[in-house]
Amino acid sequence: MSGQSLLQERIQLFNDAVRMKKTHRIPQVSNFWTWKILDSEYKLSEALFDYNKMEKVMCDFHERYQFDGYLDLGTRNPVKVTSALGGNQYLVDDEKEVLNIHDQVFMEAEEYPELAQNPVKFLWTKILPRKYKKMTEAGALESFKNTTNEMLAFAEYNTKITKKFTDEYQVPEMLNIYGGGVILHPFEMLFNFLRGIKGLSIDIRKSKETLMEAMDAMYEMFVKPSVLALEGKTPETAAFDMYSALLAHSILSTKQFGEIYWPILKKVIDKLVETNKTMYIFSESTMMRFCEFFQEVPKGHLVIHTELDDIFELRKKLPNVCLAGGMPADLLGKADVKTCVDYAKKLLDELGRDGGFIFSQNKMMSFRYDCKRENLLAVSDFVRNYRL
Amino acid sequence: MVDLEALSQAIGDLNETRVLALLNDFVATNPDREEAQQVVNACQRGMTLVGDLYETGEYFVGDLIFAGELLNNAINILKPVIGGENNSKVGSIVLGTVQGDLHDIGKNIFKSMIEAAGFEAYDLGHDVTPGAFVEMVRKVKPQVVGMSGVLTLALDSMKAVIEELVGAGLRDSVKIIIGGNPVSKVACEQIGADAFTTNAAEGVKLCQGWVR
Ligand code: B12
Repeated sequence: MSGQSLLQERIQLFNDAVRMKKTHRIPQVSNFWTWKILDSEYKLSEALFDYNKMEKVMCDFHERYQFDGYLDLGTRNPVKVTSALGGNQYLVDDEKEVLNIHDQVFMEAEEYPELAQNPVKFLWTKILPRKYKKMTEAGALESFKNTTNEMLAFAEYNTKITKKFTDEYQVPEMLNIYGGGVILHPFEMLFNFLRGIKGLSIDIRKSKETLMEAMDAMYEMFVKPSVLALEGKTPETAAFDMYSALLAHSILSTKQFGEIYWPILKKVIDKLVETNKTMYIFSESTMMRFCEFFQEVPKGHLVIHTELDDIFELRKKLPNVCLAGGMPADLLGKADVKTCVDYAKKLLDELGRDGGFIFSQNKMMSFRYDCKRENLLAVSDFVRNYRL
Repeated sequence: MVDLEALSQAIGDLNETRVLALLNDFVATNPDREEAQQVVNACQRGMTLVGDLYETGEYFVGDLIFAGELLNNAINILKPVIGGENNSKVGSIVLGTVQGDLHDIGKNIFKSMIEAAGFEAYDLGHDVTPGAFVEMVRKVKPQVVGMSGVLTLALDSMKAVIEELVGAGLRDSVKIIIGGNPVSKVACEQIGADAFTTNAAEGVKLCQGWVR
């Protein structure tokens, strides 16, 4: 690898993996979230409410385990921004060591046509005031100022930590929340921020038409610009051209997925193929049920990070897609070093041999017993040094 | 009298319009309590059909949630004719998503299915402390305790509940079933529960077996 910086080497590894080419070693991505904080000297609230501490958590974590990429750089839960606006969806509990998030329901089924008519206006005039009570109370201007400051501080942290990782640690960006590149399917927006899981499940059966119209409008407004941006150049520090997280598919049957979810996702994928770009799909729950859709995607454009599937089976079903994940939280948290390393070896041997594999953890590592430090040290060391 | 077969089928098909029409017509005939009870039973059989279709993959989570709502609406229409106290309950269960976990979709699905099977369900909600479980068990003396959770940490919380039940001398008075994605045979043994499942319909069958 002479003449190539570590950053370039890592980007090359990721690119070869998604292109389904054999790599001399298997790149590893960190699927560690709040566990990082529990592994540090700080309590959850200390790191979540103080960007300097969060930065230290991230840097120490990287220096200890040296992953090739990070799904979270301490930016997943912007606790300070939302609390400045009076939206108390995050509750940090230091004693139980959990971060609580409630279901977000801010819209009624009858409002789909209004959402469809003008998504931006609807969000600003209807959703935000419902979600952030302080916007409508006395002193709204003051809280706006606070929030703007908090947003700037968050953006500043995000830029700083990303730059530190690319420049100092030579770790490419997996996703850049400010540079386009990240898309959220309209169905995910409805599921996560607008209608909630129960509401959406009912809408699929009772308001399907207006739901689909609203999704189309949301696509035009929020997703299409990023899709068109694929025609341009991706930052040289990025591992992939696009990133997306899927969890709302977890309520859909295969047939419903085909009708409701796939058409928009397919538009994105078609553009990826047309422009010869790549996308990392972080998929919660299972993907096996939807194989038939992904099977038709030309080889070399997608990574699917799977949580609940048997990854060895998924490999057989999807020879055209690079897979990420595989290392069970169950083992990292409860087994001994040898069992963990043996399993990691099996993953590398069976999935990495012919290329198309990125090593990672199956679950979003969040709680103390999701992992033991000695196991993670041994496994990340092993994966970094193992040659196929 | 309403066509019971057609009613079960309409629930199985998740055809809300048809279900509500059938039930409204039925209530308008001013039926007696025995007839009303037969209609409730037909609704419950409809839920079994839904469970079967879930097992074949035809229905998925969103459909189960919708089915729960549909059944709720159906029972609400029937309430005036079922009569106040419904003493035909087959058993009772204390239910909740365990401490630290706010994921309650699976728990709510199981709740509507176990209610459809004729159980009285005492739902403690989510993020439920061991103390709250124990208190409710002491109060209502259920046959079954059902715990739900999808976070890895839920397994530890479930264990804590059973320890408190043991401490309170209540463990042997109940059967304990755990559900939610991370539960497994190994986890079930370590936690000390009587049964586990990641399938609500199967959970219902297990509970039915205990109260027979
Ligand atoms: C939807 C979802 C959410 C929603 C929850 C909304 C809600 N009201 O429940 C939202 C977006 C709010 C959310 C939040 C978070 N989530 Co979440 N979430 C999920 C997701 C995608 C689906 C869970 C689900 O509902 N499944 C569908 C139901 C129907 O399945 P089920 O529970 O297994 O239920 C079935 C059976 O098991 C059975 N059953 C269930 N209970 C019972 C009980 C009994 C007695 C019986 C008999 C049967 C039974 O019946 C059901 C039907 O058959 C999972 C992914 C996954 N694999 O589970 C992640 C997941 C659980 N979440 C995760 C995380 C990390 C979080 C957050 C911490 C994220 C964050 N940092 O911001 C927060 C945590 C909040 C908290 N403290 O609980 C991780 C947990 C990882 C871990 N280490 O454990 C998961 C696994 C995702 C991942 N990729 O790793 N989440």
